[in-house]
Amino acid sequence: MGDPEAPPEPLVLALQRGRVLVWGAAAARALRERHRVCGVLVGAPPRRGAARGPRLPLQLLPEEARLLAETGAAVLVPPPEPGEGPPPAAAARYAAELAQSFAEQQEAAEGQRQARLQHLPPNQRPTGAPAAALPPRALLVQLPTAREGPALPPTAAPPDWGRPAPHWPHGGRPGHERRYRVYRDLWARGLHLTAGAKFGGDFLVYPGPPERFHAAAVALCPPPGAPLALGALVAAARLGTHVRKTLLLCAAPAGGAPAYTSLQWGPP
Amino acid sequence: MEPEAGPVAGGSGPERGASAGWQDARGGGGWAGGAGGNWMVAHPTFTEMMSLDISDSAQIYAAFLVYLDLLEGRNWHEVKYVGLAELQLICLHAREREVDSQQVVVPVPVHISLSHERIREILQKASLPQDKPDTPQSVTLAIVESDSTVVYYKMTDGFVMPDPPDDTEDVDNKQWRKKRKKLFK
Repeated sequence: MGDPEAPPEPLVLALQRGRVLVWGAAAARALRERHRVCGVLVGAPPRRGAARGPRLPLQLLPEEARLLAETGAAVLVPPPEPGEGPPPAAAARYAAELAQSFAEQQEAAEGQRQARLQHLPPNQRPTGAPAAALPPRALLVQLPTAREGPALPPTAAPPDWGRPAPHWPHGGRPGHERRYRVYRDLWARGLHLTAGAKFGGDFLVYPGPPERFHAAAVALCPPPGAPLALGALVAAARLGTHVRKTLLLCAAPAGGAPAYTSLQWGPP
Repeated sequence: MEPEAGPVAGGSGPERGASAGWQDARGGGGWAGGAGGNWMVAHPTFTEMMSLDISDSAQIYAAFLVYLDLLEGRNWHEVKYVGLAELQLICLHAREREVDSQQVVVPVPVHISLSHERIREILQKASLPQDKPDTPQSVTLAIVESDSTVVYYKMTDGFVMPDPPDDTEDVDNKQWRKKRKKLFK
């Protein structure tokens, strides 16, 4: 079985103010293929080129990240505190690389601008002193995703799940706790789950990898006693498109067994 | 319009409705072109529903519309109505064809607020005992819109998956069709 390219476990998840990102390509693939955690690719796609489409980093739901941390498959690593950063030599080297890259990019941008100017007829060329072809904020920084991520800190203690912290504000929030219990239960049954906001739910539930299957259900974890919008159910049914997904209502009380109710549109 | 506090024995459960509920509405007098909207008030099934011990008249009206939709609109074989006082709802026990088993249909006006807890309460108290012991409980929710259309949602206890493998073929076919278009342009 061993995949020579698989990153060592536990995987590193970059945590910052409640947002969890995975930068390494191998780690993202391991999460999807080995751990059934899908995440969402949130990187900006290139403006042109053959490889269009969503890009790294992979962003995880708080529920996905917590499951991985609780099962020991991954560790949440917050950014270093001031004073804890990389050694000055490495930082200086990186700054020098950036400066070098900036100089090269400026040269290339200037060359492109000259080429464009050549195509204009002489009476339309701009007069006066030209501004810099590439302002500093337009610097393109490339992060190679195949390199090793940050080294694991020696004692990476998991956050206190029940209490909010600067980098884990979800702690103790009833919505997160409810969703997490449901996520954990459904994941433990071998299902694949992703964010469900596109369909007005909390999760989308797939019987297999999302790349190959349509979602079987939209899972909703309402707070106890919350009214359901029957009008929304009616509207969804009337639109009629692809509404054969099951709406799964989930109740997962803290001490008890989860209860699910499936709603399927269709004549009786 | 308030229901009459008449001689109803305030019972709940299927036994009560089974004998008193079934009406043959086909060929019932005067309603197919009758006196405008007032035909409903004179309809015997409607009057009987109103006399059940259910306080929400909007729910009774919704139940009547679903009764008509199943019996007349969809030509179901048999539709009986039952008042469940514990839930304060009128439910329908209906059979699509003579050979089918009975199903429970719970009519609900669209503006009524239903929580997940209430839905599970309805599921547990309104569903009929199943033939096979492992079958999960199931009722059909009939949502009645303000324009009198009815939308049906089947509610089942537990997680019900729709049929899987055909879906993967759908995805492949769509991509295959796109490719063909490109090749043969």
